[in-house]
Amino acid sequence: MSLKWEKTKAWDRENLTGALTPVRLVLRFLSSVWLGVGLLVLIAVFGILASVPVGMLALIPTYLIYLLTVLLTVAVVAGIPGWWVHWTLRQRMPQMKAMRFVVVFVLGVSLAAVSVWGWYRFAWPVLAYDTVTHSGFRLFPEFVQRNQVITMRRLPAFEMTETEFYAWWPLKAMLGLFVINMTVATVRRIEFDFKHIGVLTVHSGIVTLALGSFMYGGSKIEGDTLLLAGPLGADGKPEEGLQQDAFYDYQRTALFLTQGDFWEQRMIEGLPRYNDYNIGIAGPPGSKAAIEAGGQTPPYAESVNASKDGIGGGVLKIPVPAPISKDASGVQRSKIDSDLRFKVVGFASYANPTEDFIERPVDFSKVSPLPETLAPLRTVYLLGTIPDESGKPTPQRVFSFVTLPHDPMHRVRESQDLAIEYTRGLVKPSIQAKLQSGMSDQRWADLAEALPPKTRHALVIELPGDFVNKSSRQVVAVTPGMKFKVSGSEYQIEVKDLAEQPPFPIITAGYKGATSSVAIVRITAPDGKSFERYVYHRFPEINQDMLDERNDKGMPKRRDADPAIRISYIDASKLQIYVDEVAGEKGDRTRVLIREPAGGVKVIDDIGARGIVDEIFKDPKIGLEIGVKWADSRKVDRPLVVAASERDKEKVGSHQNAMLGVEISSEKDGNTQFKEVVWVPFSAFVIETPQAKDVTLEDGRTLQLAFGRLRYPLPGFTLQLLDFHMIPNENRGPPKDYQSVIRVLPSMRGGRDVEAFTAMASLNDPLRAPFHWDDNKSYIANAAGKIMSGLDPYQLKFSQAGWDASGWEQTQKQADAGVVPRPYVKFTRLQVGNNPGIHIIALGGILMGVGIPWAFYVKPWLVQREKKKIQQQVKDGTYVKPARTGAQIPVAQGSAS
Amino acid sequence: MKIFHTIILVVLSCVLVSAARGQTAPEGNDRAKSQMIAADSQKIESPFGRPEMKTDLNMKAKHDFAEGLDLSALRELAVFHNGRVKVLDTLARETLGTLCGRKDFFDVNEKGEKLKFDPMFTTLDLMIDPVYYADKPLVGIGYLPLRKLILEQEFPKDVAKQEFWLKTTRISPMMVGKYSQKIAQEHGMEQPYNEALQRADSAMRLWDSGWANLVVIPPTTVDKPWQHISTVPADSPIRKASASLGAAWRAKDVKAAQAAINDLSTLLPAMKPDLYPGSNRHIEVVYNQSRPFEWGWVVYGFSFLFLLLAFGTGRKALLNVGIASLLVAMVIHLTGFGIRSYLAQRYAIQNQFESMTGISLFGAVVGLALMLFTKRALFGAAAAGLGFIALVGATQTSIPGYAIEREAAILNTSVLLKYHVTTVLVSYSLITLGFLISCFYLVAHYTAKSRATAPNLAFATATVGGGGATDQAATPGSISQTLSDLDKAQMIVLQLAFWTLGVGILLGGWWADHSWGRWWAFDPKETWALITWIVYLILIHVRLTTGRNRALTTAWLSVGGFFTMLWCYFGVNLILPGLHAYA
Repeated sequence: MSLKWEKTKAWDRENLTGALTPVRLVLRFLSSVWLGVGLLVLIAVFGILASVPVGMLALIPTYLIYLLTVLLTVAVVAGIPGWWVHWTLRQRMPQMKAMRFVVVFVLGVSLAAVSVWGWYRFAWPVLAYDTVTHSGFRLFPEFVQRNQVITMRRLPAFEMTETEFYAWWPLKAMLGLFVINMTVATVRRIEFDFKHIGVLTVHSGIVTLALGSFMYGGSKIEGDTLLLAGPLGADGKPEEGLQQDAFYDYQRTALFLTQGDFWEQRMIEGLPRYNDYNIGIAGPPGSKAAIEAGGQTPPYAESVNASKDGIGGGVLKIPVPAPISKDASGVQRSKIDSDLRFKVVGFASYANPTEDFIERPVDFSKVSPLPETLAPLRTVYLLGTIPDESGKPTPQRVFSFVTLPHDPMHRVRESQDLAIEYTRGLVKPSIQAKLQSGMSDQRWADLAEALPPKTRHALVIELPGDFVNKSSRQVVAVTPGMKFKVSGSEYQIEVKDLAEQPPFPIITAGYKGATSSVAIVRITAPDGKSFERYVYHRFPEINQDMLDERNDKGMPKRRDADPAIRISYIDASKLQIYVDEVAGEKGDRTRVLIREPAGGVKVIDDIGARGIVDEIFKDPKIGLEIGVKWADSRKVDRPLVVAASERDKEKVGSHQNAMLGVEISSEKDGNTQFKEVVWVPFSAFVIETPQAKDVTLEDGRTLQLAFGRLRYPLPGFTLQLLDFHMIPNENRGPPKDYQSVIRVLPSMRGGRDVEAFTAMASLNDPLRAPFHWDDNKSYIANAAGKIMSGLDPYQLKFSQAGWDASGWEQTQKQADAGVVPRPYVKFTRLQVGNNPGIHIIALGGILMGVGIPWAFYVKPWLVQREKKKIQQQVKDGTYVKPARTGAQIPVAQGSAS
Repeated sequence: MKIFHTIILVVLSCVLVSAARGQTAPEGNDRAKSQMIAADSQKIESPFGRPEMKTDLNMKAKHDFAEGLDLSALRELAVFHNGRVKVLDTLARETLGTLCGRKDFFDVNEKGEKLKFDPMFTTLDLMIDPVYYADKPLVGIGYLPLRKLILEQEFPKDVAKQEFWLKTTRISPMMVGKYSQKIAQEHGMEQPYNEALQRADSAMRLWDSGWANLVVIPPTTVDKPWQHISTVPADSPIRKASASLGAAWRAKDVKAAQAAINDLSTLLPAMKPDLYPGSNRHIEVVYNQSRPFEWGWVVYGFSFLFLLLAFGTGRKALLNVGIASLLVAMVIHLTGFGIRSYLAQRYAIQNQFESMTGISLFGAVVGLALMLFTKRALFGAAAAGLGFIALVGATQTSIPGYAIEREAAILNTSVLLKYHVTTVLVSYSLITLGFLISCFYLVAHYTAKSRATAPNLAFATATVGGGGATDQAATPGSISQTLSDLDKAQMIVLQLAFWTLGVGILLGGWWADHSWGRWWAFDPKETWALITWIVYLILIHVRLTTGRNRALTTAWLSVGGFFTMLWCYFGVNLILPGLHAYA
């Protein structure tokens, strides 16, 4: 106990009495070393709870029991015999102490080793818990299993990142109290003298560091930005990139909305991170029948936090209001219709968007919607023969395919070995409407053509007749590169390619997103003119001719397929099933056409009311069944939750794979006009690469939504990527460094006085702006600027954080082939962060680093020196003991130690 | 048709998913991914010709053939693998490490007879005669339930055979091929099975096409990549030599195989002599074969034992042997560390293996310095104990980083980081040293408590003091002196540990500030480093408040601090995800 502390307590007792007694008690409490120790323990416990999964914490008692069994084994096998030998030897050989030690030591160590081995050999196999068979010993096994990677901050009650959890008030309160405790204890207990300068420095350092951290935590912003490279220049290198004037926050998220001109961001407060909420919110799953077929897991079933009804998670209602700020004229800044309300009602923490359909009921007795406005849905099942519960082979639904017969993109379900196309041609004859996506009789006839055995691809070629010539039709089995003359004509055909997909996406209106195998043929007409024709297997109605002439853009001119020669393409490379609903005068019927790969064709004109074809394939026996038929449906995107074992740990909790369920409603005069829920996937860079969701509201208005991170403008400057280098280790080893050459330019928006400059951001060497160390300025000016910028929350650092690795790899190959002068990237990603108060933190750290050795090594040396001096004085009889009251009291020789 | 059906079922059961990519840690933060086999292995032909589909060699004959060959020239050939140029000998050891879970291959026959094979021979043999190994215990399966499951299916009723194979800790490639798919379907979602099956899959690819790793053709310039042996024309002398080697090997013609080996080892360095690695190759082979860290722990253990016995008996001879062996161990250790740093072309403290070897080296140096400075041999015993524990842990367990690899890019672009890592490792070594001294204290304290007098500790007092012990040295007051000395010793070490850990953490914060953009991110590693520091902060402050039991409290807190540090060092690195992915 220090003298100062004695004095302080005495002063307290003397002066802090009566009404001031509580002050004395508080001061005593805050001066307590044990309070500091207790707070440190609590801080450590907080850190443990934040970083160690609760399942792992629950394992502690189990492991303590394991340890106990080891210790017991060692005690029984080694301890007791060792002690007995020691005791016996001590009785019999009391003088041979060294020998006794050696014997006991060697015996003890050997027996301990044997006991541990024996425990491992015999006890451990029984105790060790197997997570698969559940054999062995473990306390709370289910809890442990369920929470093996779940830290406390991930639980639904918290939903915090590490930094959020550590910025939570309990830790702040503990740290605050600790700093107060340390300050009060320092002032009241420790002498302010040269000897104690070490501990005073350390404590000052901690307080300084705490103050710096307070400033740092209060103004810290972190995020990243994407810098795109410019177009490829004439020299084969990318030109200067686009100017980037913003960056995205790492943690805070926003809903981005647009009705045309620009994106409006609305910050989402309190969005979860780790658990799922209401992931069945977009209505009941549509492909219900498909799910019943087995083999397909409903997208919501694996919810981490599934609610009792199985539709995933608790309630979530986070309003996302419009910005409250108004412009100069008093008009609200929001450019989104003011009646529209947005609310986050669902959240999938780690999911992939998946397509689903929900039924839209149509009451034909009341309304007669135009067929084009309907999206009928049909489900097709494949029936396999599988043993039932009693073991008897029974036809069962093994796979299901949901199709939209009116939609070219969704009417086909295709894999490498099988394709099902479902068309619905004419609607009721009374309507006399023919849908574009339907199956024409002509196409049905083409598809039904018998082919020579082992034919995988064939063309049906038809030359319409005229007054002179008779019409002709022929079926030709074709292979790539084949050339032939159309019999009975002068037409010549060369098969250029037979591709599973067209070389470029189909952009014809109504077919966007659809795909089909295609035969690319070169046709030479009787007049000698030749052109290429794209003959689509699925969509003969959009076949196109590509002429040799070029348009203004240098591209080949296109036209609809010349009717003088009609070609259709039969793709028999896989099992093809065509189902077509036909409405006729005698009633509706469903016809089916099955073509085995390189095999025969089977046509069933009417599969009957059962909607079942018992055998579309013989070995193994596969049947087909038409299942659900909805008159109208709506496509919805749903989150398909990714199993915990398949998640990228680094992305968990980062929103990078999250989906947001947003309820859009319109309110007028306090009444809700309509409500709709849409699921929006996360976009890492909303403006640059949005994964936007297009929504057509019930009243016909359109809207785009995106879910991303809060976007901040750069303070008064923009960034431009000039160049990028990846420096590999020798012989193209792994990357050694990444270097982005960046130009900093004053922003057109102004706001700050920023000088333009060019600098490089590389690993461990970030670019700093707007202040940067300028070699053209004096050292003092630079140093002063650096210190001031350390206090400026708008001074930003840009660290190399990501790059276009695949682009670099691709262009490296091109560079090796001599196509481009050197590899390049299409983008670079920079981490953005400010550093307010970092110099204060650094000062605190330095004070701590310097003070500790003083306290540990210099102070004892000073004390020792003082002691020797006093001893000498005592010896010489010149020592005067300092009185507690401050008076000098002479001491008799030899009484000091 | 059944195949067709299966294909349909498999294809249809696949769901196409697209995942947005992103990252939280900066680029270059992770170590370059280990790639045990070249990416395009399926497209690369074996330079040794097609393997024979049946093999009639028994274990003994194979061993005789192996013994007849001199592979020393081949060992030193350079190969580009996993991002760096190494020697074939290293590749062979790493290959067997991945395949068998150990650095060499033991063949076992049904009688239980065992023969050990040279890793270089086995690696070549796997490339030339893989069929021989199809039913051999080759694929190391560390996860016992998986091994059991496979063996139960292979030998459904034969418990003896199951036991026999279980003991080998390995199974045959044929068994993996037969059962892994089925087991993956049943247990693929269970993480331990999944990981074990993935490791088995990597092993199978090595067995199946290990020759894909023969990237042995030197580049034309330093910025160009090394090439696979199959990229040179088939009629070139190198290809001819490799084809001859394959043919002679299959024909068990030792003479012809040896001639081909000699040709290859002459031709390859001669292709581009100015770019071909020089003396490093020989040093690397020596490093592989001398196994300095394995020898290091043996000698450290020896030293520890002798110093403990010296402590207990007070015999000066034991003390001298202990100190001498400690010095020898340190020289071996330092040599190993130096060679590894030279081969890796960096300061070798950048992964778990290297940090453990570093910790023990720093600890031993500090212990030696303290011993010389204070004249207390007990510091030497603690240093030897630390060296022993750390090197056993590094070499005899499966901690990552045994193979010399390229470091994460973020580590080689900052000098500051090296200071941070070194300072923290020094603090860890001091914590371990302090822990051992505290253990000595606790043993002394409780032994003394159990007896009125403590003659053995009386000897120890003299030993601790650096002098030879005699029975005459024992005096009734010596126990308190011993405890006092031990307390002083633990405080000296722990205070130093506290300071270095604090400075190490602050240096890490300084580096993280300009590298990760934030000086403190509450990454699990940072959190646990802070918790460890807090334990010692508590230790120092509790000493101020506890009276007569302060040394005992200190010793127990030192034990607690050590286990906290262990968790920070191992648990956090290997179990909890975080930015310190390479640590």
